[in-house]
Amino acid sequence: MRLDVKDVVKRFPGVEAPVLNGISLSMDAGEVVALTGESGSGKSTLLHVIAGLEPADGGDVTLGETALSGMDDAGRAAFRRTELGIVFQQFNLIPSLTVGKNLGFQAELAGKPTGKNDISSMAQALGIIDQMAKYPEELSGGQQQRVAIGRALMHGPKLVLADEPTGNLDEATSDAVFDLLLGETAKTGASLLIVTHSEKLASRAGRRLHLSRGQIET
Amino acid sequence: MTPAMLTALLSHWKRRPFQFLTLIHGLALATALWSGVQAINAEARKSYDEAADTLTGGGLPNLVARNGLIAHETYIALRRSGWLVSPVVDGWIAGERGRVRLLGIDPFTAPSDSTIGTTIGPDSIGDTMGSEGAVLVNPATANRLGALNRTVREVATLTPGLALADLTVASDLMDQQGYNRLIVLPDQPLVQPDLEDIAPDLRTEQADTAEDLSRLTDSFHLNLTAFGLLSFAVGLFIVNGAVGLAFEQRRPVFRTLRALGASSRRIVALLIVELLSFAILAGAIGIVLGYLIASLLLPDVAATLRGLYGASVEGTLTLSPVWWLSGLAIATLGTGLASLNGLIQVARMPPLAPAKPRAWAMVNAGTMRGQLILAVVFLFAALAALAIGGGLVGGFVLLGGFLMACALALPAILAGILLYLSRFGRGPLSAWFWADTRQQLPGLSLALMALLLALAANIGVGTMVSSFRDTFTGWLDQRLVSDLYVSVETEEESSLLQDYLAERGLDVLPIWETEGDVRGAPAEIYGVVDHPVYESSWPLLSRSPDVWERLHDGEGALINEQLARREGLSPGDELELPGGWSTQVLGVYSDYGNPLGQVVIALPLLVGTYPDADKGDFGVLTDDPQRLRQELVAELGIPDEQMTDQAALKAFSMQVFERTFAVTGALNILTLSVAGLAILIALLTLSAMRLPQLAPVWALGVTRRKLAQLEFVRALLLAALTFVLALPVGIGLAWVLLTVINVEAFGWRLPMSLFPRDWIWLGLASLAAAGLASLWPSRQLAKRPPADLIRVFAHER
Repeated sequence: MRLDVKDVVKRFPGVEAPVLNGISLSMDAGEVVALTGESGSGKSTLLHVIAGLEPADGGDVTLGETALSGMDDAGRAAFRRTELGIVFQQFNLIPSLTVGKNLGFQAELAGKPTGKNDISSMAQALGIIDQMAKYPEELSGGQQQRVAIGRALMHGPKLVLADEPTGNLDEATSDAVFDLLLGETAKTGASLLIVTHSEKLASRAGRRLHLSRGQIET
Repeated sequence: MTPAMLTALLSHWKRRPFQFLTLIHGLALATALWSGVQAINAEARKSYDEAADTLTGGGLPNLVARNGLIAHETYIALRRSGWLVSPVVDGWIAGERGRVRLLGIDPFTAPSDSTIGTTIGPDSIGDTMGSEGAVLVNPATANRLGALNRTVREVATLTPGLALADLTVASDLMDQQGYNRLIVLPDQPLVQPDLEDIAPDLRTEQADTAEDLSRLTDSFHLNLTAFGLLSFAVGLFIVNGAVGLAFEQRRPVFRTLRALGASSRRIVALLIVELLSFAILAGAIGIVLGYLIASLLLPDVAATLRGLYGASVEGTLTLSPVWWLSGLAIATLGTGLASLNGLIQVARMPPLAPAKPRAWAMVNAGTMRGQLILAVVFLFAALAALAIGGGLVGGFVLLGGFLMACALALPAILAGILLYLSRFGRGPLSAWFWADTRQQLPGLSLALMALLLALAANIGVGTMVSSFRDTFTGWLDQRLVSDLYVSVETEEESSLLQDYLAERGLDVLPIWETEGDVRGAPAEIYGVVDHPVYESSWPLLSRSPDVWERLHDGEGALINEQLARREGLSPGDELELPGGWSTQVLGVYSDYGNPLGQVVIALPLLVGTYPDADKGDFGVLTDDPQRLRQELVAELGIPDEQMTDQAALKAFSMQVFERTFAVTGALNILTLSVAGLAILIALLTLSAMRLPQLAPVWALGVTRRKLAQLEFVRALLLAALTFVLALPVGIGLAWVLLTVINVEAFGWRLPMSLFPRDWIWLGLASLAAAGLASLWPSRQLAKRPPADLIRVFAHER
């Protein structure tokens, strides 16, 4: 499904210059795009605006036929629930649910409950099949991020947004997790927008965009 | 979506069963203490209503004599002239375990739809009527009555503390000629002569016994309710702490749920459902516990009410649906109050709120200033209540405002003290300890506030009870001047006794009395003989010159403190007395434990003005009361149970006194236990969140054992500081209780005495409670695997 970001502006109170200053970008279905930039350049903010986590002050975000502008909080929540998969740098798993429950969690929220077999297949693919009964705090960082990737993909999202998905991991683990993210996302046919500081990882995306001072540099 | 969200929210409690138990426990305890007190109050009020219904014939008006009893001839005259009235003999008989109210009625004319009519229905009228008829009593009252020279039949539905009999049986038992009152039946002929024409010495009196009784006992029930509320408030501190902590711990979950597409409205709705379920569960447990508490306390309450007010509450607890529902409602209301702030925060939380929970210690730091402002508001409300007055309710506003102000100001005051103490710290570890203790304050503040309230209540109520005990004991020593107290039943026995004692050269102090309305309220009127013992022993609070000479000359009366305060009377004022005469107030004496107004006049004046006064009781001054007692049994045939010596009377009075405060004592201990639990819970929950603060100190070279010791010392230090601050609060509370609440509730003012030895014990108890509460978390910390601490640095928690 095609993503169109058009003239998006985002300001924060007390900051004179807009963080996002008329950003426009497009992504085709199944495309993998890496978004790079200095710290404070607005990468994460752009991701949040696309996810509907923060409303834009101007411009619009459209996924397929669905435009975010004009949606209220509940509408944006429903959009995230059904259309998106999000992978955070801090994993953001539910600490009181087991790995198995965490994997199927967003699918249940989206009203697409998954069977045990689906969850096991995903866990198998992610290499965490032995960890299903454990709680997040009992896993290493790399394992937690694998769970987060699985959770983001289980419900078949149209677009996966990954915010520094390997920022908390060592290089070897980082590579392995990135491989999984690319591979598993490709299987679902979803588009993938990755925010990263890593030149090495960015180079593996189909396209790279660089954000600087609130604008995309080509 | 909803089931998945519910699973995520509820899984928090599954992973933290102790926290769940804490919440349920706190709420259940709060509900239990509140609903237990309500159950007792409801049971007592039900008994008053039943008693009133029985005594007044179902709330019907009564005809009573302006002076003395109603003659049988007057009753006949009224019936013949068309007045449909039913005679009643109403008085007291001595039972084996206290007095029992005896009601003699005419089964044929008694109103059929009243309690009397339904108790003596067509089935039992046969064995009740006539001079050989049975005396009907409630099974509990039968036990109190003991052996009676009559057939006693138990009727479970009859009001406790009351015996019902045929008119002739009751008259016999009380040796009384004439009726106390005539019930005016509801269906009267359309035309009947005026009461003034037939019986000019009678007047109509509306049924207000229940009102009288509840007016007398209202202050006692209000005291109980206030204690119930205090305990409920202390319990709510626990709930607030547990809910607040759970909300804070789940901040990342709320954030993740929002990020994954759950709306804040739905999260809040599910949290409300979750809390409502907890409230109903804990409320139900609390109601069961409340029932147990009420059934344990009811015998003491019943003894208090009987001893202080002559009110009978002997029934087993019968719980109405209203009580159940109000218990659940108060649990729900309490949960709502405790959770409101958390729910508002969740509703307002943006999806990108900080993912990590803020350190629990910092959660309420910003609210300390707000609490201090609120404390000032409460203090002004209390001062306004003190300045304006406003009776008993005003007294409780003063009490509540003062306590809340002190509790709310506690964290800020403790922070100031800790800041001051930190100046004396030497070395880095000491500096860290003081700084860290201040940082822990907001997290512990709710538990410490609960502890302050419980300790202050303990000190205040303890001071009040001990002051009361001291004063009461001294007063009893003064007031009980006779060595032996004798009751006789007939005038013949009375003459025999007086002659016998006169022959032996013993001084006799008749205790003759009558009852009547003084300024619209029931009062007792006693007569005293001219004897120097009164002058030397009676505790007069204020007096006219030559008070005793003038009293014995019949020139005036002494009144008790209750009557003086209620009517604003002082020596020199005129006082109207029953029988249409008035006299001057000569002095005011203290009369603790008596809810009624009391007037003392010269004995000849009493006998002359009130010929029907009860003349059966005497006090005797003797060196050997036991011997005299045996002689009176042997030579005059006076039954031994009609005599009491001074020591037994004092012991009985002290027993009544101790039972009176047994209930407050029990509630005091329960409240303190709840506060101890609050500390334990706060320490345990904090200890689980302390790792990020402790790990760096550990990494810098302080052993886990040392850290655990410091945690233990910290708990003791905070408990000790709270105790020291609770002392002035408790003394202030005692002052309010003794000089405001007691005067409003009971009509007497007590001097305040301080009992530092009790405080030392209480202080040690609070230190022990805090020490025990911190022992477990400290031990956990000492044994914590290093891996847990290392993980803090790996950012993997």
